[in-house]
Amino acid sequence: MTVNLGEAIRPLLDGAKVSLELSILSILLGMAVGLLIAIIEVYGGKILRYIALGYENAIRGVPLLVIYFILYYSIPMMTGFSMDPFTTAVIGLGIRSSAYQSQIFRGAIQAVEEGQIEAALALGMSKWQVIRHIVLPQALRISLPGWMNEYTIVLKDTSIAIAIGVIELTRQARYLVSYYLRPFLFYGMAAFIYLVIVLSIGYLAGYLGKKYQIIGLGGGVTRA
Amino acid sequence: MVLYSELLKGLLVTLEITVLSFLGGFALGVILAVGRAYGGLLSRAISTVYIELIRGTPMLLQLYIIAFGLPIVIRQYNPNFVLNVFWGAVLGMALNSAAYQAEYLRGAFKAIESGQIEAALALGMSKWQVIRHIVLPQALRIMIPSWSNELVYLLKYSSLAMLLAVPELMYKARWIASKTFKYVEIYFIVALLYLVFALLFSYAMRLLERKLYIPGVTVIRRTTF
Amino acid sequence: MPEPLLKVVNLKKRFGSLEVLKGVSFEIYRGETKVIIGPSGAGKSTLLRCINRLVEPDEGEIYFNGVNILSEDIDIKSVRSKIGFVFQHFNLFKHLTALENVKIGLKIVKKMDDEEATEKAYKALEMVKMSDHAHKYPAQLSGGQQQRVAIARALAMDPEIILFDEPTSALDPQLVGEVLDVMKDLAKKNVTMLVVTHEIGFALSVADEIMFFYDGVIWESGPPRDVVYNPKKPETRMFLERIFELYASSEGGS
Repeated sequence: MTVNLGEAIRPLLDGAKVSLELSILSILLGMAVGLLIAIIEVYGGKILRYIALGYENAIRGVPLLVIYFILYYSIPMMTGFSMDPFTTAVIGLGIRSSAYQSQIFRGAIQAVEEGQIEAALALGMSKWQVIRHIVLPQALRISLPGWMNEYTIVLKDTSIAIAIGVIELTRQARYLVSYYLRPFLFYGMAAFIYLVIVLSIGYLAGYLGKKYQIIGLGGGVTRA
Repeated sequence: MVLYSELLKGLLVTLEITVLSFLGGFALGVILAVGRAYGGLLSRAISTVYIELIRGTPMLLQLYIIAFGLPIVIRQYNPNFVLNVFWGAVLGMALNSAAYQAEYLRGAFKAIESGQIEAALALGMSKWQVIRHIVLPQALRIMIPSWSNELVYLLKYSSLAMLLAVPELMYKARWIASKTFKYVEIYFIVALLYLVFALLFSYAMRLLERKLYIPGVTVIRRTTF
Repeated sequence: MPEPLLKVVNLKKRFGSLEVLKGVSFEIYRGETKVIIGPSGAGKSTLLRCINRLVEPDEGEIYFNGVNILSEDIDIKSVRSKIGFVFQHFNLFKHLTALENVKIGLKIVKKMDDEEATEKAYKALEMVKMSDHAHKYPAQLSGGQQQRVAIARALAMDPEIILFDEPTSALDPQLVGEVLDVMKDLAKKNVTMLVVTHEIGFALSVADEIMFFYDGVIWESGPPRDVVYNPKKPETRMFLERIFELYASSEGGS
């Protein structure tokens, strides 16, 4: 079957747009929750810390697909409250990412030396002021490489939202392949789009890392 | 109950996929890592391109290519070809895991001081002898924590095989849910099962690390799964 | 006069724009112990590494047993198995015990069987007085002990010459003596040795010749007593004065 490329590429780009939106919203949600968890884990009381660690380990031990299904099928059945697939995907991916981002932020927060915190307290700052003005600015810079790496992981995992009906890039590619029977063309194009974004983030992370580097402060925690 | 035995069968398939792709990924990963770190220009180019390609794209897309794309191409030559989805999933996940394992191994290579390699060459060893007798024994130990992460990662991502109609844990869970309408219990049970096995795998790897321990060969600690 | 075991002719090496070896020439006869001294970072390590081609020189010839080992058709691995090398940072194989470190070259490069290799390895360890520590890993040994095992590793291969690259520079002062004692022992047994070091005392007691390496060449050479007490060139004298200052002040201080 001949392919009208102009026609075919539109659904692919629509899918890419959805993937991007999903990834950005999820990573931001993950950041908000992850940062909170990290702060609790470093500065919180014993009970709170155990809860936070429990949350982290539970989320990380469970496949994203299971989280999606619990949010999309189990929760509505328990509470009668349901959401559309896209929102569910954002929440699921965001929660999953928060469990990994909390590790990145925790490491970065702990990398800021005790001495600086002591000095700030000695000046008369409150604990919260110390966290906000001394620890976080440095910790966020240290986490940058690890965080951008996490974004590439989130982007790749947006594909899993297919399972609850989100029409994103990978799903569009599969649809086009089953219609035109040209697997290398459409899967190739989808792969190309993912690659371009992932590799750009990689270079951007390197560039930003150097630009905003504080001399004497190390880099962040990384994962595959 | 019959249904729960189905769930257990699914669990078994999940574990099989996980272990097979882990080992397959390891075999290919070692070749890729050595090719990228110590090979000639061609080996380095091929390994690098392969690794960056795999790591830059979603695993699901790769599984789709193997499970849905490849058969289309093969059917042009052999119209009766039908892919066994189980092996398709294992192949796709192994090819994926190989790229990540290769990078963990390469990181471990870098952790070995170049002085040891110099000393080995000075004794008259060939490059391959150095890799085989000096670098690999240390690198494989150094990368055990990352390797452990990868095993748990594969356990979790084996759930994607459900979308390929492989009768693993998630597939069975969904089937049971559709029959019993117990959407709440089934997915929480499944979540618990994954968690338990993730912990078991981590524990097993830590035992392995302890067994292979040599004082002076220090592992690269990574975040737990 | 028999042929020299090692003859280096006009060796040149540059790294980028920096010319490190500007035409080094010297000879060593079998049984001799020669010491190279000179300022740090000048290229003495590079010189040693050119001899077993861990670094490839740009120009010049290196004759080992009369054969130019820089030519194309040489099997460098077989040459290296006849040239022992002891590194400044020991470079023991961390995943192997002391015994296994000494054995591995014998088994893999010289293709000996396990029994023969073990026997030879133990003999080498005895020569450096480390046979009691045969089953310890490098991480469990002190610096001086590690270096002695490294020497045993080189010895076990029955090399025709052993190159030493500042073998005691990375050691705590109190451990230097045990390694120098082993080296003096070897020199007295007529092992052919080329040693880069700052230990003038070692040179004075067992070396046949001292070569002062400066500005990319052998600036001055001669019997140890002559070079140390009556240096002919001003640069040699300046270098020696600084070394003695270092030794004198440290002795005075401690």
